[in-house]
Amino acid sequence: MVFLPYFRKTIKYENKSVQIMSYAHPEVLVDTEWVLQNPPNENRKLVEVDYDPVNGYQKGHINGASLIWWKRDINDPVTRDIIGKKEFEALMSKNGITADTEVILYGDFNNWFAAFVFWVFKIYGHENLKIMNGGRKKWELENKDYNTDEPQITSTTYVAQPPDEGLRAYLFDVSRALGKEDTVMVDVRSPAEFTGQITAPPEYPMEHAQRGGHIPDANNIPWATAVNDADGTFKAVEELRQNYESKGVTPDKDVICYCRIGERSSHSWFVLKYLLGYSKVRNYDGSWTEWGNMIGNPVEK
Amino acid sequence: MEDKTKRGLAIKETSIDEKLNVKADKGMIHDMDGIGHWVPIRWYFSKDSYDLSQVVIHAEAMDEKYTKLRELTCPDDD
Repeated sequence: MVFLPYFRKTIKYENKSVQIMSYAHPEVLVDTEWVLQNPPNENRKLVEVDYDPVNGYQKGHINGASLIWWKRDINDPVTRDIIGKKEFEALMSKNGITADTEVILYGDFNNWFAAFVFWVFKIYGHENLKIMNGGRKKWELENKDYNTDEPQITSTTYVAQPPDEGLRAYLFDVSRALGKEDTVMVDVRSPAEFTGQITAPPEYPMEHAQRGGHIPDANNIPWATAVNDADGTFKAVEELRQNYESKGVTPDKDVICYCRIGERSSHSWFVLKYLLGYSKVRNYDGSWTEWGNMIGNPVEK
Repeated sequence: MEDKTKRGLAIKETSIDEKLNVKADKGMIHDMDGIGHWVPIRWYFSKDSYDLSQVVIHAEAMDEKYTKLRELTCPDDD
């Protein structure tokens, strides 16, 4: 029997009781209008997370938002890894965030990197955390204002939790999971990447791998199948449930998501863990640029 | 004129390439830091203003640029 973690809610509509399904954790999402009506203050911080801040934050951002630059701020500058606990604490301090602060993340590229940063915040135990549904894409579609002023921020003292390694899959976790029926791999890349037709789109010449294809037995469920194409917002819970369960990605399984560098997969990790409420979902941030470059790793096309 | 090393790159805008002062299809390539850079993919030299020999000069310059790049990464021992 499969446990359904998302909630059924009963609401009154035209004097009738109607049952609707909502996300398992609706508190992790806010919409653009809410952000407009609830500007940042001492206890609430708005953070734009960009892959490309030159063409994003620096050209204009939501009033009061600070910047986390994915490459500079969230990755170790030398070793390929996310930042350590001390660097995370320093980043929080620089952004005026305390352990109790409500943080709203949004960003470029359909919130891919905002989702990655959400994942890193969760690794270090930050609780009050939300994503602005639709990110920059929706904000811009609605012709809402940007400005270029950087907020004045008073630095804070932040004490992070020890890293929650249960949210992260490493190469050896993936290798061990091969052939196990209770673990399911979700490859969220495009079908062309999944089949090995390309290893990276031409826009990202630095992200290629030596081999194209996918991890054996992985399911190809592209990240984009979880969002509404028109505005980048997440699909309704019933559509999401159908999207994953029809491919055997069910809540009773141990789920590992991967893509090319781990950012699109953190978007799908967010969907599975917070919108559908799956209890065991990990993001394999080494992803294809690790798996497809290792000598001897099995590859399926 | 087309830069074949940019094949497959999505065209995001068509505007004047300031280097050659010619209308061009442009795409964006992201570097190691994630920063996007506009790059021309295809140039439209008007027949009214350019003859083939002028276009060939630009094509040869582009070819020379890529030959030098190849030499940097895979130098020819000969």
